[in-house]
Amino acid sequence: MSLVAIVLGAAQVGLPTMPADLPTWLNSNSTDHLFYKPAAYNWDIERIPAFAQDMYATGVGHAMAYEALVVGQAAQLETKTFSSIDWVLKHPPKYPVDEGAVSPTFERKYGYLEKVFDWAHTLHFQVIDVFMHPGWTDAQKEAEVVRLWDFYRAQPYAITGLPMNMETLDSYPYSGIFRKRYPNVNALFWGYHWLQTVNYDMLFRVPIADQSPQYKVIGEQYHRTELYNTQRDFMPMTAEMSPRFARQFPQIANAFDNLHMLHDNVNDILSDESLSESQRQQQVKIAIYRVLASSHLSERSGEGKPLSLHDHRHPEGMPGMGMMKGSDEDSMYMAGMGWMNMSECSHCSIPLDEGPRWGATVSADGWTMLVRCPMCARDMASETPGRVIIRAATEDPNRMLILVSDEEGNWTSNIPGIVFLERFGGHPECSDWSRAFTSKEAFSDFILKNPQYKNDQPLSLPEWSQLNHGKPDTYQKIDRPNPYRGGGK
Amino acid sequence: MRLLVCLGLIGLSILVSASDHNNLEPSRPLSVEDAYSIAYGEREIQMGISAYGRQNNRPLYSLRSEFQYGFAKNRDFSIAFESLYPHAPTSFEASYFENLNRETEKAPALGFRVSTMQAGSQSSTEFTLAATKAWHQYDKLHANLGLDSREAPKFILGYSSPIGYPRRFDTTAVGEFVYQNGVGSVGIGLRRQVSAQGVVDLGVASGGGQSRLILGYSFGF
Repeated sequence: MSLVAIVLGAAQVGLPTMPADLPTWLNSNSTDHLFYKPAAYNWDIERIPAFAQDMYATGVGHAMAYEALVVGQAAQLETKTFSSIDWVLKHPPKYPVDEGAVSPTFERKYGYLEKVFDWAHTLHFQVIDVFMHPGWTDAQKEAEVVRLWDFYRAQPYAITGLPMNMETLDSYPYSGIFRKRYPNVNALFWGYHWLQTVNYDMLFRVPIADQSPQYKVIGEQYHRTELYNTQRDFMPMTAEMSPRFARQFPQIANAFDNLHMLHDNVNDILSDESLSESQRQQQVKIAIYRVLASSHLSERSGEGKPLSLHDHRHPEGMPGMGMMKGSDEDSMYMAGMGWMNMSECSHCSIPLDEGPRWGATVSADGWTMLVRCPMCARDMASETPGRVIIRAATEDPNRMLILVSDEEGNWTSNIPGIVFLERFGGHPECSDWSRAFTSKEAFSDFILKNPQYKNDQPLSLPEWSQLNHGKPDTYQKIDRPNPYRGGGK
Repeated sequence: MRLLVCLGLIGLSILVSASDHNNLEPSRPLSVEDAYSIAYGEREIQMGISAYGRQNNRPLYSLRSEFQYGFAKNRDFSIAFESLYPHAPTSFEASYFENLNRETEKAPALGFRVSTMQAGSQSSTEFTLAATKAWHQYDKLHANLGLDSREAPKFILGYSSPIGYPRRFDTTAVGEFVYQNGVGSVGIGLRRQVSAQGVVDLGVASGGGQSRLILGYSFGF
């Protein structure tokens, strides 16, 4: 046996093998272009032009990198290709771009993969369009998103909405090659996926007029930091970026994460030089098979053999995310935040409330965390330099408070008459005594029904924003090493 | 009056628009078409106006309106009306298109169209075979062979190329050579995305003692 044969044989050890029940369409040369669900909301993403154009540019970025990988230009990926993509990201196209036209060689070789990508990207865009559609109530929008999910999963190219174990999906012989060899282009990919997942909490149950101001902060973070963040240990997860959306639509959040993991698998397969062209084709088909809905029929969320392909367990309180490297039902490692428990307030570690008193989220420095109350949100925000977005429940389930800070920590509210109740006490009850109200009248109504607060005065935004109670003594830091850097369980 | 109504429809269509500049449809702007159907579930309306210049004759104008529907994967049907001014009856055309396969490393994309046209008391049926294959990295070659029940076979060789890569992604240049009955003609044109879903096309063609200027708009929904 020659040395070359020995090396090639060794490289194949441990490669996933072709399943017996591979769907026939994966070996078909049919075109099968699908159109999005016809509806009045289509292309409402363009109500925020900068956001729409940044989203369009992500498609170009994906396509340019894939084309370079399959035409033998991998050596230029970090230089010439990166520069070309970066130019497009800085000068995004005004209109949506047909990715197949930008990556024609990739399309010819991996047309079956493009079906999966295109169909999932269509779901990405249409969910955004629904949330940005004016004139519909939140209930109408959420009902339509459910219909969109049904529309999506009716096709054989649909990705499963079950949580998948990300550690398992990232454990193949080729896993991690792309991010190690092409860290800057990988950062772009994960930057796109950051944008594609962070936007849902920007839009979900947020009035149309309050969506655009948030994108000034998010777009700045995307262009300045997220596209070039080579220090991230793992791809952004939907539940990390948009926890409210992921809780409400766990199947869609899981499908997006599984899609993004498929992108990572494909990146790794295409950049593994030990694989022959035939092996690449096989491994891409196997990677698709792993995440297809048809491969997980009659399986259930929350169940499955740990660390297997059919491990559909999820962290406690977050059905919209699969298990991560080193995680268990109670805790997981989050980029930029360390170990967290997603069923607890990120600030005070008290279990999160369910229902209309869902609390608030804090978005800063690329992460988004769920907290129990406006006070936890404000005090957590004060720990982070730079601009912050707080989204908080008010007494009106149809009016969400959106607070956006400048670099100096000055807050701007989407509700001009916003007032707060804050009678500082024990954190286990913080969601009782820290609340936001859309008006003084709403505050007074609450006091009438809750006389224990009769001596409390409504705090205006300037008064409330001056308060700070620091790190609560209930906060429990989970002290474990980073599982992605040689630590963890 | 009909001219004004049609122009008005073209203007109105800009408000509701949808299409893709990479796809080549017959008459938008040239005769050549690619081997792909529109997407399953897509509806597309196409409008176009053409001016024909003929030696020693008054120019002719035509208005064409077409509706396409992707009623199944890789299959669409379309109906089209075309009126010629200052004279000639309005023609009606119905066609079925089917894409047989996408392009792979080994084979070009293939598709075929069967269409029937009625103009006054005259009718005809045409079968067109279409092939599309990449040329270099981003350009494409298209070959159409048309067999008509009343005319000589028509052969079209087309070429399309994106303009502006890798910085712009909204325009495709199109060229064609048409050969039928011993007469050849050439055409060049552009298809340009003008909204998320709308495409404007512009073309000129010349041959057989006639020249043609075409302006059109396509939108899907």
